[in-house]
Amino acid sequence: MNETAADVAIVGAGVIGAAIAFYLTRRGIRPLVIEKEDPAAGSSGACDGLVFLQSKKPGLHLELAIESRRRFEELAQVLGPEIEFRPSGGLCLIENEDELAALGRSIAAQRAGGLPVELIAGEEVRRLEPLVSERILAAGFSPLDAQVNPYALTFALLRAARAGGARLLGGEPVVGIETAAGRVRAVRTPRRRIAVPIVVNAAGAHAPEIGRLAGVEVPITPRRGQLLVTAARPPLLRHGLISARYIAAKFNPELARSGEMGFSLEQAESGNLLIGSTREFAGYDRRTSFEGIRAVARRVLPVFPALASLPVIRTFAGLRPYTPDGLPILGPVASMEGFLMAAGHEGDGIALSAITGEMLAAHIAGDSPRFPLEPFRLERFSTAEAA
Amino acid sequence: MSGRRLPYPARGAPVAIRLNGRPVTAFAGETVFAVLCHEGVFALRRGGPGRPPRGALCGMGVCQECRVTIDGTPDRRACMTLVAEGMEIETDGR
Repeated sequence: MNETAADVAIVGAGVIGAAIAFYLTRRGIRPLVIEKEDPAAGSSGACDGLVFLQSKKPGLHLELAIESRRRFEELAQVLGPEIEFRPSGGLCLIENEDELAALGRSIAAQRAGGLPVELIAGEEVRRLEPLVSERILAAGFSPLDAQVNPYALTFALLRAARAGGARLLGGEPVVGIETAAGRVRAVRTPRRRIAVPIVVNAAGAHAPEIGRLAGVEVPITPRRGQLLVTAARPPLLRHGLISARYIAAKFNPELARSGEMGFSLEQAESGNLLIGSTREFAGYDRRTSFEGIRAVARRVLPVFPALASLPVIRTFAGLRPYTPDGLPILGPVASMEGFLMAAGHEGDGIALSAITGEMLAAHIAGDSPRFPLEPFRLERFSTAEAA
Repeated sequence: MSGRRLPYPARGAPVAIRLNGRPVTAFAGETVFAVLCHEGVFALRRGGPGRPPRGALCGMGVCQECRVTIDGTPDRRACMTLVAEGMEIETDGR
């Protein structure tokens, strides 16, 4: 067995692990990123590219997303056009009076929280997006909603991190975490032992497995999202698009189960349309299902009837790391010194990647993060139980 | 025999089609993909970064790489479509 050492080990080379590695190298810390498959092989390579703010709960969730969004312009500068970042703006499409009332309340709270967002009438929606049908009464519009290529973003962050001295160990699962006297000592893969004082659990939906290796219970559940991809077309859509119902289903699993889930829609820079998404608790099964894909298509077509003639060329599914309160789990773990969490972003991992990377890097470097870690720590769940 | 076809006694009846505007004789029962192979047309479309030419991979309806325009409809799978009299096939891999 190979013996090696590192200052920081990051478990998982999805967008979260990649962003942490990137921001660490900017502070002169050179982490080792350990990935059991390939970069972006999990959820970061099986999602859409919406950097959406309107879908965030007013309060902490939205503040975190705005802080993250602020960093994307700089990431686009540093990482280059390959990440396909586009500040396209986004529309949250409203189909009925109930949604109108709910979104009206959420928009007021989001505006109070600092998000530029406004309610616009159906006619204005169709002026902005001519393919939207008469079914849409109104929409929330935010110029801050944006799009990025999540796969390219993950690879670009890793490339920049490696240029800054980070190392990537691909195709090696972490199979053990050695601890002594309540702190992390080393991680093991089948091929080597790495002495390391700090381990970051950025394993997404697989974070519970990594947590167990250190004796840490992580309340993350895989939630499957199935998407479909159409053939490429010249520009048809100008904005990132989600239905108001999609936001409702995100925060209400009951609604998600009833099938009233809404949809998300974007045209990638390649011209392909990405249409999502189911939200299902199906264990670690990453397969798509005919029923799931059909349900997504049936939801989008009444709002975008012109898409009926577009061939679907691919379908795929990713496992979103769901947490009981919809917020990611970030920062140190009280029961195990040196073991840090950076997982549980559910469908927000791409949007929250930048701020997550910066917060974890600042904490590891010994600075106080510009956005506090405290509300995102693992212990919030045990406190809630005790109370 | 026509194009790259091997001698085969049970071939279907001749079918007159057009491939990129050029008259071509195919045979009933052949897929569009088979005719494209016979005619030596392998670059079927362009796509991806830099828009390189793309060609069929699986030949059985899964990979979506053999999409061509048939009778004016884009993105028809050549491997899953049988030739028909008067069919117009256009490829975009040139």
